[in-house]
Amino acid sequence: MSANMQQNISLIKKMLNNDETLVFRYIHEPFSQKAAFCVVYVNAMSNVELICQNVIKPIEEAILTDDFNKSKLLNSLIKNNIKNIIHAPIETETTDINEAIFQILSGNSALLAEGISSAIIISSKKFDIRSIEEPPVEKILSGPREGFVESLAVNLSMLRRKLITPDLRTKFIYIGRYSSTRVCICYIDGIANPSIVSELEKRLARINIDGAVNIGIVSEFIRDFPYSPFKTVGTTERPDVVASKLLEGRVALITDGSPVVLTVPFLFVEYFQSSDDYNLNFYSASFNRIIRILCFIMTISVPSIYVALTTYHQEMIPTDLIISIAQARQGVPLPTVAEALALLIVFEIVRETSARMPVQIGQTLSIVGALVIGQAAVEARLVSAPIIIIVALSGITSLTIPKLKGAIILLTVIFIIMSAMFGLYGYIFCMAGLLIHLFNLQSFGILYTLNVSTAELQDIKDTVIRVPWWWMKLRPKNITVRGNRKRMSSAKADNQTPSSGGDK
Amino acid sequence: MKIPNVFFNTKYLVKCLILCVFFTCVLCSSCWNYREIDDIYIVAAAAIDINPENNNYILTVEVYDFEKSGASSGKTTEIFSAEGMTLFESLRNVIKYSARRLYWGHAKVIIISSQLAKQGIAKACDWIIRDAEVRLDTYIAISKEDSARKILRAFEQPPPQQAAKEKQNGLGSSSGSNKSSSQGEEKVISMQIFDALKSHSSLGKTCSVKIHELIELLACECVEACLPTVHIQDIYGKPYIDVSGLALFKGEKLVGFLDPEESFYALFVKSKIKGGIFNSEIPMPQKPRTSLPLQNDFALEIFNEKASIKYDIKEDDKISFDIHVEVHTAIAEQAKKIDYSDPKSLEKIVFASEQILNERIHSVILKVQKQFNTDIFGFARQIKNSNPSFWKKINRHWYDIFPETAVRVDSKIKIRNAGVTSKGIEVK
Repeated sequence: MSANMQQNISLIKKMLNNDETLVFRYIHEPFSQKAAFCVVYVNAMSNVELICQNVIKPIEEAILTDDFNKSKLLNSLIKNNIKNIIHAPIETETTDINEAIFQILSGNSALLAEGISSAIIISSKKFDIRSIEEPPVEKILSGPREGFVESLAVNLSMLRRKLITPDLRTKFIYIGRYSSTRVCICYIDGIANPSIVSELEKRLARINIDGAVNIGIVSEFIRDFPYSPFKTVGTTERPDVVASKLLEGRVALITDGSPVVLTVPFLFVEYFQSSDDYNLNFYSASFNRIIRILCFIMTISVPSIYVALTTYHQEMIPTDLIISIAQARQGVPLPTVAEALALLIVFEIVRETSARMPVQIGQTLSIVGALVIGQAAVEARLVSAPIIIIVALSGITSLTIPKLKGAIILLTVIFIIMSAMFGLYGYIFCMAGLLIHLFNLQSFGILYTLNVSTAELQDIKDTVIRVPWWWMKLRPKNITVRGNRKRMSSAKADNQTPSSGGDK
Repeated sequence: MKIPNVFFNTKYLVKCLILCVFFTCVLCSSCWNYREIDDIYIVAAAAIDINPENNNYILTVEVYDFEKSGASSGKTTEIFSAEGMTLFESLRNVIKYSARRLYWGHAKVIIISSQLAKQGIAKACDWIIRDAEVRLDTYIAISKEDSARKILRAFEQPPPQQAAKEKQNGLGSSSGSNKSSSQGEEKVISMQIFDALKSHSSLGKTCSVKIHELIELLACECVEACLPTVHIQDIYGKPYIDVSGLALFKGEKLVGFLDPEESFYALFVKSKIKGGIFNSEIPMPQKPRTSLPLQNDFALEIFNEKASIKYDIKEDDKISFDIHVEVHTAIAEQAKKIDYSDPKSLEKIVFASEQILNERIHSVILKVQKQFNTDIFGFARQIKNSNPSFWKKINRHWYDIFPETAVRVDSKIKIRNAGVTSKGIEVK
């Protein structure tokens, strides 16, 4: 930047191609047409009131209340006191014109002065932010109802309110050649494994893309095993979930413009964990976990086992059941596999439709789905009744874990095809393959599933079941940094109320 | 152009190897027969007969009829028969009439005609155990009717023309055009026999034998098989399936039948009584048993029973058997008022019942020994197990010795309770 203000301004105008949203607010010297200062900002991105009240007004007051020696005043003002005169928070001071433009475009305003070859960047970002609501995809029964919004600063504030510690570290990185998306790596120093943090930074630095507008793009670039249907990067919209994951030693990645926060490493059990589990009694929490795991197994197994049993292993179905299945299949033109696959696709169509359509026409869908596809198709003998039950069961169970949806539909179809080709043998083959794949997966160097040979009792206390908190004395072994695993200083607090003996 | 050397590249080699393993697994598994559930006929029961004219097998199967039976009307069945030189041929000949393959995985009962059983059942059993589909826990029963297929057709009212045709052809050759459906409130016969065999334990008048048990019994040299018998009972013009009594085998051949009452006492010796009613009386020498109701009769309900067989070899190699039967019972019914709280009268009851039980068991054993000469009780097993050297000496002529061996029965009856009341009804 040069010391000539007009030159700087014309340079900015040229670089931004005379953008009409750009506002140049000049402050003149008293009783002259010569501009001494200029505030540059983008319309509707900056807080105009703040700029007027806390930047322009103090400068003008200072000019007006001054004595007659204007040039002396202005010089001293500019050289020494400008930062003290303005009231607005100052972000930084830069001499780089590109940096200044970047700051202006991201909502800050630049204060230029005649004779000074640097720009003072004033934090004046102000956009309209969606109000804080409960995230619709992660509803819980009890617990905090707030969810992240699209502003990085607000999201970070929500996190800070939950973790008031100097050890909460934030590192900012910009991603995207054109989007310059601001991304914040967040972790707790002393709990998070530094190697995971540095690995995450390395992977983020490798991203070289025009724009990372959506969090999914970042997530796909940093994940391990990109071709696996299972996620290796966790996503959540709940600050309480992120806070507790940070406390377990995970690293969070908050992106500006997205309410979804990524957490790494992501392990397989996290699919089945819900923040409800920690707010409910541990018996019901454990029961719910088992139900969720059962649902996952059922949703991929039920249709394929049905296909295998009815087409290969008829002896394994009880006699009464096989007779009613055979009766229901009388006159149905499609073979069982085709029936299963067709209905599965119909179910997915209904699900996809209901996810995208306006709420008002939901009733039409349920009538069409239930009556036409369910009842009429059976009565017209297009499909048999048992397969509708089977596919519906698989469909309902798949919805218990919405995050697994992508993996589930792929697995279900593969399982059905293998079962149709090889019977139960094919099913077992698929199951073995699935397990091998799951055991093979890693997320940021951490094994995706617990390994029998290395698992300790402490590791499984928050997996299939959720034990009382005072049993989980140690932080997760794999994730947290070595040598600092103690979660609580003493075991269960003595909460017993003194027995009221004087009642009589 | 240089072709890359694929075979010495370890990465490729491993991948190929994994692919090979995968295909081996897939191709070497025997799961190729994809068949839709509605393209098969599920066999519920089978009856095996023999044609006396040409010694051909006649196989009759009861299959579930899906087309006729809707969701509301319950199960209905169809019956097909076919003849063949071998059992398997007749089985395949059934397809001529049924037009679909038979599926044996759900067969409940296989009924063998007594004519075939007299010639030997081993050949028929061979197909049953050799075939992959037939389960080894299928029940097996012997028909007391003149043909086994008559049992499966018990509820059938043949249409007039067909009845005439049957008459014309005679029963033996009614192999063709036997597809006949039965209407009305008829039930699935196989299910009836199956349920009867399963619940016989609270009656105790027959025993149930699964095919794998029969195979073991046939293979054992020291116990002979006995199978349940089935026949049709006409009650007020309506046919009922009666599953009771035993068919006694010697080796693979049928040698005779025991009626339900005799079967009950024979099963005491085999420790197979799990329930049932034992009728007893207190003998009254003054008055002969003439008038009804008998004042002294009472019934004991049996809870469990255990028999132990002991043998004794005398110096001249004469063998005698001692059978101890211990029965746990409760008073189930009585005609005369007996005070059960009095130990003396209780003792009297027990003593009288034990005498009667001893006598009845002994008479059945005698009948089996003298009339049929087949060791269904496993007396020989006792000798073989505890004295193999002696068994080696006598096993050649065991059936010369068996009818002549002396048997002593000694039973112990224990009365647990007298139901929910200790007094009888006072009639004044």
